[in-house]
Amino acid sequence: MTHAPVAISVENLAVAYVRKGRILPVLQDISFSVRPGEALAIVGESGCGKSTLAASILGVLPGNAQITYGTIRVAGLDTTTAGFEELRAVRGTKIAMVSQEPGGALNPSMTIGKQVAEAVLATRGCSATEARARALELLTRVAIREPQNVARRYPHQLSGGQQQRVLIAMAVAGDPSVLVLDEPTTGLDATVEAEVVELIGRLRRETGAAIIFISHNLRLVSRVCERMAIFYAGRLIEIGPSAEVIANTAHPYTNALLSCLPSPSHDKFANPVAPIQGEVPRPGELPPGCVFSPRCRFATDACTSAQPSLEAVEGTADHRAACYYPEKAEGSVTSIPIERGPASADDDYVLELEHISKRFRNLVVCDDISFKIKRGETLGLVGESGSGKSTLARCIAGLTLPDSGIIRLNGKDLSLRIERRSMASVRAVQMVFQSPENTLNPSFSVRAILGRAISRLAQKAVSPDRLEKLAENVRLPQVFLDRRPRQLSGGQKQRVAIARAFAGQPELVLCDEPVSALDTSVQAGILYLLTRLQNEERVSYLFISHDLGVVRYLADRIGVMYLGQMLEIGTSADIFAGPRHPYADALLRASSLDGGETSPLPAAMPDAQVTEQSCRFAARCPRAMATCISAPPPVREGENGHQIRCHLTLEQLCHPGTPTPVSIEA
Amino acid sequence: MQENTMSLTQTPAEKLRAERRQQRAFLLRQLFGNPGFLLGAVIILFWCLVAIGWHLIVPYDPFATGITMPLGAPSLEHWMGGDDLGRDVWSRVLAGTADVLSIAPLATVITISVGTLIGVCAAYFGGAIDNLLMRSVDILLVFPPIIIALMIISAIGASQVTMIIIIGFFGAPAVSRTIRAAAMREANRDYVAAAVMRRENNGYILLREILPNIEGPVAVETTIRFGYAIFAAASLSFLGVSLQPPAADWGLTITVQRIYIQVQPWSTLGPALALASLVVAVNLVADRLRKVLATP
Amino acid sequence: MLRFLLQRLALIALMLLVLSGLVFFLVQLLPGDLATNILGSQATPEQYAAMRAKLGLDQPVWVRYFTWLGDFLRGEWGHSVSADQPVRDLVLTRFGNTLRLAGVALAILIPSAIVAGVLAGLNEGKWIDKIISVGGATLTVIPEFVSGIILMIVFAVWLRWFPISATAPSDADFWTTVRHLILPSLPVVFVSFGYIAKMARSGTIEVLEAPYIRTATFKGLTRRQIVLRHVLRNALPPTISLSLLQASFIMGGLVVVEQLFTYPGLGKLLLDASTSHDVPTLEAAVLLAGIIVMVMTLLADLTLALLDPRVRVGG
Repeated sequence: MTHAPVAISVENLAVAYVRKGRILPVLQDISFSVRPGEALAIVGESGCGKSTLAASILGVLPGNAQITYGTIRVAGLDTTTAGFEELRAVRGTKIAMVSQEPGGALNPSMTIGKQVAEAVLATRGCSATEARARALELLTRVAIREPQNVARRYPHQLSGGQQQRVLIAMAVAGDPSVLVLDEPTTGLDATVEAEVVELIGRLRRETGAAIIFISHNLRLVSRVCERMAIFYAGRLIEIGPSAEVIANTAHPYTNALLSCLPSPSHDKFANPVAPIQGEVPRPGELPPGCVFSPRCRFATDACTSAQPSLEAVEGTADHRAACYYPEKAEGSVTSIPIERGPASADDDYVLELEHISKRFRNLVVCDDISFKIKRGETLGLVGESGSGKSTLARCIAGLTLPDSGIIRLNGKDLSLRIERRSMASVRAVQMVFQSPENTLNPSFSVRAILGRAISRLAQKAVSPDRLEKLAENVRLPQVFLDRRPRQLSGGQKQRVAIARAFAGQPELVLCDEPVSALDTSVQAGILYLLTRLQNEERVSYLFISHDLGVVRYLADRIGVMYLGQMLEIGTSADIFAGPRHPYADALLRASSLDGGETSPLPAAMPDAQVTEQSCRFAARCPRAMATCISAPPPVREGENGHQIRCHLTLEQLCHPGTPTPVSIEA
Repeated sequence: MQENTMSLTQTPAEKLRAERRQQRAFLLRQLFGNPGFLLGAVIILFWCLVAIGWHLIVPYDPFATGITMPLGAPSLEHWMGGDDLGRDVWSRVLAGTADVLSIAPLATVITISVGTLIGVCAAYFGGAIDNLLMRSVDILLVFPPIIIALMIISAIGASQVTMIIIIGFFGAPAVSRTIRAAAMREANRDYVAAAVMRRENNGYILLREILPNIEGPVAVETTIRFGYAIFAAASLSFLGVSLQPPAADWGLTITVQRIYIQVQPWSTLGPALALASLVVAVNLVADRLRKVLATP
Repeated sequence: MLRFLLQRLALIALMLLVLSGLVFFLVQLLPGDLATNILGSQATPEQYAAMRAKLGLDQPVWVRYFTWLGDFLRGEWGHSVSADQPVRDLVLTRFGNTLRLAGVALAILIPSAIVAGVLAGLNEGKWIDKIISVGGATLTVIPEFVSGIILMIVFAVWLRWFPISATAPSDADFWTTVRHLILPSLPVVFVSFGYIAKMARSGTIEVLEAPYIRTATFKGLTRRQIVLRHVLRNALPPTISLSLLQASFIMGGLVVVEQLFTYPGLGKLLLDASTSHDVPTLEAAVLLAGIIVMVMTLLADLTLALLDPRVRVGG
């Protein structure tokens, strides 16, 4: 490892924040190096110190943070001690960065061309004209169509994917020897994310820069990075070649992280995802000994007395882990099967939607949506942001008034306005929301929140017994009943929110991205809880998520929405087996759930003018034809109520390789 | 750690109470540990006590003429000298406190209640109601309040009650904007949606769910508006449209005495400094309160 | 853009209608009747009736309102009883004086407040920030007549640096006139200084924390380039726009300051007219003041629209 030159080396780095006079360590004893042309993934949940690491490398730590020990060397410069001018000299040329939130990372009042040219000018001495020409080259290189046109625009006129490409173009403008990518795809839709990841993969082959790719998404980074480093609670706990780390995990946390991500090998009853006990400790509340020991089932006295150091895993050259028992890691989690309840009757529908439509001004958010949900069934709803899935759930909930349509609950018409619904139907339809931060009223105690739900929804007197039973049902320890929401972790808040929804024995619970704001290790616990409750209470779910993996795991049937339209609906099995809609296909490829290589297909007619008459997906569809622009697609009927809204026949859709009849204009 | 040892001996309800006590103690430490806040609070307290009991502490009758030489210079007996009629300026400054402080607090109560009501309703009901309320507020905010107040007072005449009402209502639009923004943040949170899904009535949602969570902005606005109410009351009496001589009111005294500043500045400087100390003190308190309540 | 402008103009028209309505109906409440004022108390009821008909006072109130509004828009503002001259001449002369005073105030206020605010924002938490923030906040809350009287006593009576009178001799040159106006303009400056500086400061801090400033830093730009091209370019437009919105405050402050310095401006006229119940003068002065404020508000919106590509170019 010492033979090849090193582009960046981090040695014994320790960083702490000072808050209210207390020193809180956020990073401890971090050492690693990256060689030119190599890509290292930094993976960890929120609070593990990833962002602090990026800020330390780039010399932009906030004022209340300080590097307490260690060095970071980039091109002979120690960025932990360098001043602004020293750092400026290496920025752009030696070290560059792509940040998250592409929308905010571009100057809103400067044209794209100027911003890219500015990056060129800052890194090489050339004339303004040359810089402009070079900027156009860069935009072409990051696969931006019509660079001339894009260069004249302002950031707000670009899509999220385009904005991220521009940021990447600026980062590579000075051919940096180290490129730090800080969650570059967070907030992008799955299909766009796949495109950006592919671009990064291509650029790294071209540039030979050392890449540090920070992400919380283990699966995503394993596609582009040959090495990965797993962070937990401010410590580097495992590092090694990606394939090796995934195949021969040497730390219980890594193994737990891998097994709590829903994958095709899981089954929600027989082989459910295995939640990790507890939560990531906050800085300042670190346990003694190994940071993972409180959540580890193998923890011994040794583990709780001293933090193990990073040691090479036996029989490997470059794989190291900070665990006393690396050989046990693989068995660190066990999943507890759930006994499956009786299957639901075929015609016992809890919810029937007919022709629900909703517009906000000129924007169609729900376009003639119809479907049914059986008792005890889970309908998963996937689609990117803006596809109208949340609006649809809010229409069913009575929080948003649809323009037209019929909702039936247990076969009886349900008023679209919540104030006209009977208390019985109000009780029957409840909702679990996305953000744990917003779901509970901060001025009430958990007891008050659940008590109100019992008295309103169950229409029963609130007794300590009932409250405790409700809390026990969502595995919320009793001591939390007298706490305020801000004293709970994200996962605990979500448990309270679920308990609130279940206070009056609901028949349909609308779950609007209930796990997407949670850490991976906490997600699994909520998914497990939802499955168990469904089985015990015979409740139906409408489960909304942008994460196809989670939906596949939980849902019996899946609906795919795009720009307010239901493009496809069918049983999970049928959709994953195919034939499926080209959009569902793109989502599946992007999520890499099919296990194969993920290479997003380019759109066939990117500049197509989509009208009211066109297929909504035409402009982004890799298989678009002339008819897709001119006529609305028919609904193709498959087995088990499988419906696909596409001009291609089921037969054609079965063969994704079929060349499109329209030539692709470059 | 502390929490664990406490939970052994206390019931949950006791624990919650103890925790609230701790919170309150922490908040008070944050406020009174700040020299600016402390100074401001002491000055306000001083003037409030003076407003209530000025007749017990004035060295001379503030309305009696000929106590000093007309426009007499400050001396040991008369700290701020005398005015044109030979009245003791310091006594008149003390007596004038009551006039300012009888209008400002009540006007602030009106400002805050009306402004909060408008803001919360606009935020929660949204749509047409929000539009109507906020456009009206926009229009009201554009007009120079002093000018409109002048017109209203000259049309309906000045009295303490009209002054309180006018000053109270003119502050409300600005408050409603701030409160609306704060209430909007709360109204868009999912716990409000959860309450709607329990079919709670609007009164419950506004008063029990939303209002407790905007206490911070309301408290900050109250102190700011109290400062503005003093500002407005003093300015209107300076313009001579509110109280009439021989009232000892600070603004009015400055109007009457300012023609003598080249002879004896203290008869105007006295009430001017008194007024300045009061508004600056209110500002010190408001400033600290805003900082403490902004950081969770 | 055009639609935006038209919307704003429509709003202004609406606001003027509201303001004029308010003015008109408040004036109706003024004690005393115009016919009585003209004829005196000795006239017969028939003479009253005739005079009322002549003045149009027998018409319904809304007819009189629109007649009055039409006259105002045509520039027929009536005759001032107390000054015995056409209201239009009186109001416009006084308005000229006020414009001069406001000009000096704005020329001091806007540059100093914005520079101070930006400086404070760039040096957040340092002593210069503390001085500007605390000082600005303190000045803001002191009523104009209080700071005015203190300034007058200190700088005109004790130190004699500035003349105590705001009105320069009629043959004075430009700088002498300005020197006379500095003292009266300062109280108005003080009240708005803290507010504008606070806006400039928080605008600057907000921009400094924006991710795109990090992007600019990572490009390897110098501090100067970052501040000039990225910070100021985004922090200033909203600040400038907000400072124009202070117009309504400044207008109110001018009434007070003109009274304190006995300066013959629009504000003093307004105050005198309201105490002497000189109705036509009062109406004209208030409407003119309202128009000025609204034009400033329009300018505020336009500045922001022209300087922010998100508004200018659209999505």
